[in-house]
Amino acid sequence: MKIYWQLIFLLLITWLLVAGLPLVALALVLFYLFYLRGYELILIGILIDGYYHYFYEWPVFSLAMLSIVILANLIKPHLLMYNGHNEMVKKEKIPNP
Amino acid sequence: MKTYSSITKGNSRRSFLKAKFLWLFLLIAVIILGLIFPWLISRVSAFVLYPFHITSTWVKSSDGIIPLYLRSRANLVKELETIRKEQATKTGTQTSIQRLLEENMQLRSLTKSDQISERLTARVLDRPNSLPNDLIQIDQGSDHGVVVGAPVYNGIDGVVGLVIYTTNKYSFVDLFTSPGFLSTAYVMGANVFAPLEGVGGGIARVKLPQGVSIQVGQLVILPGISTAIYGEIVSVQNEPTQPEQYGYLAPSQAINSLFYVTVGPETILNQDVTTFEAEMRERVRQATNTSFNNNATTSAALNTEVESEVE
Repeated sequence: MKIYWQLIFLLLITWLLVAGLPLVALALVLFYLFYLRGYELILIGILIDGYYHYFYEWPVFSLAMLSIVILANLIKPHLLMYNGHNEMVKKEKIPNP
Repeated sequence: MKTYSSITKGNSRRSFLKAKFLWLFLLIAVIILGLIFPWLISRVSAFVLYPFHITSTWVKSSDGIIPLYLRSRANLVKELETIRKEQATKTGTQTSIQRLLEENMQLRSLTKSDQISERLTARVLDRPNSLPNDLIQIDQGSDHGVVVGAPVYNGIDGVVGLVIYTTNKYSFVDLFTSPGFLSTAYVMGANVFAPLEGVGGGIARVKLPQGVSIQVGQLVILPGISTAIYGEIVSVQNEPTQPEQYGYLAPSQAINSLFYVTVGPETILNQDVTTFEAEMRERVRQATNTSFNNNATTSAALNTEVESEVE
């Protein structure tokens, strides 16, 4: 993902969360995490919690973002179709004996 | 030729992991800092997110063309969803009604109170637009078992009217919407009995006093027969200055589109109204006399007591 797309996504996610559309934002977050590690999303979560004064109770967005990012980074290697050498992984046909 | 160094790779991987965890720790530290100093994070956020706040407020409340379009579109989408939900609920309700109807029919057949199978099927020969006085003519007469006063149905339980004249081969049915038709009806929902009178032109009305809640869609039934519905209220005329209100009802199917009807096996006019009224008056009179006699007995007893005291 190019850097400007990355920026657009981050701005859009932030705007959606400020506008009170968390479900749409979640979809974009998942899409973003599919391509990138997305640690910057935790920062957005912290800012949103500050904006909604959630730090006075429970920082819901920060914790949710933290969980989602860690979980996505743990799961992602198991979902990728490429191996560590950037080669397509495919199953070899087992010849009939 | 050595193309890579395992040491270098190991080092780069280690440094990458180090950077990754450093980032994570840094962010977690910021979260902890926010929990300790919430006001600090709130102020920073308010400053950083100010442009986002302004734009979202603009979209939500501005009268500009784009925000207005977006809002109306969102409203329309919401309305569409509501209508879809309503439609789904209505379909479900219809299914429930069908199931209850089936169940009802089975129970009726078990209790042997089902008269539907005993009904006569008749074809409508003539309709109100060609016959005077809102009558319909059917092709079944006294030879087939039609009697005067028998209810005529459309479908399972929709009453159309009563047979008022019968010959050997055909009969005339007075519609409940005919002018001059009078009957007692029961309004479901409001749960009241009310006089029903035909208005003509396929419309009848029930007259109720002010204060009784009648609404469009409430069923009006003929209380004398277990399965007989006149129709549902299609309009309510309620003027607060008048002592009564009217609920107008129409049959479930237009009379002009009736082709087949069923005729009940027996008359519902078994007892003449005049005879019934006379009987009722007689009973009331008897009851009053009994009460009077009781009083007389009481007063006689009192008189006796008084006389004995005087003596």
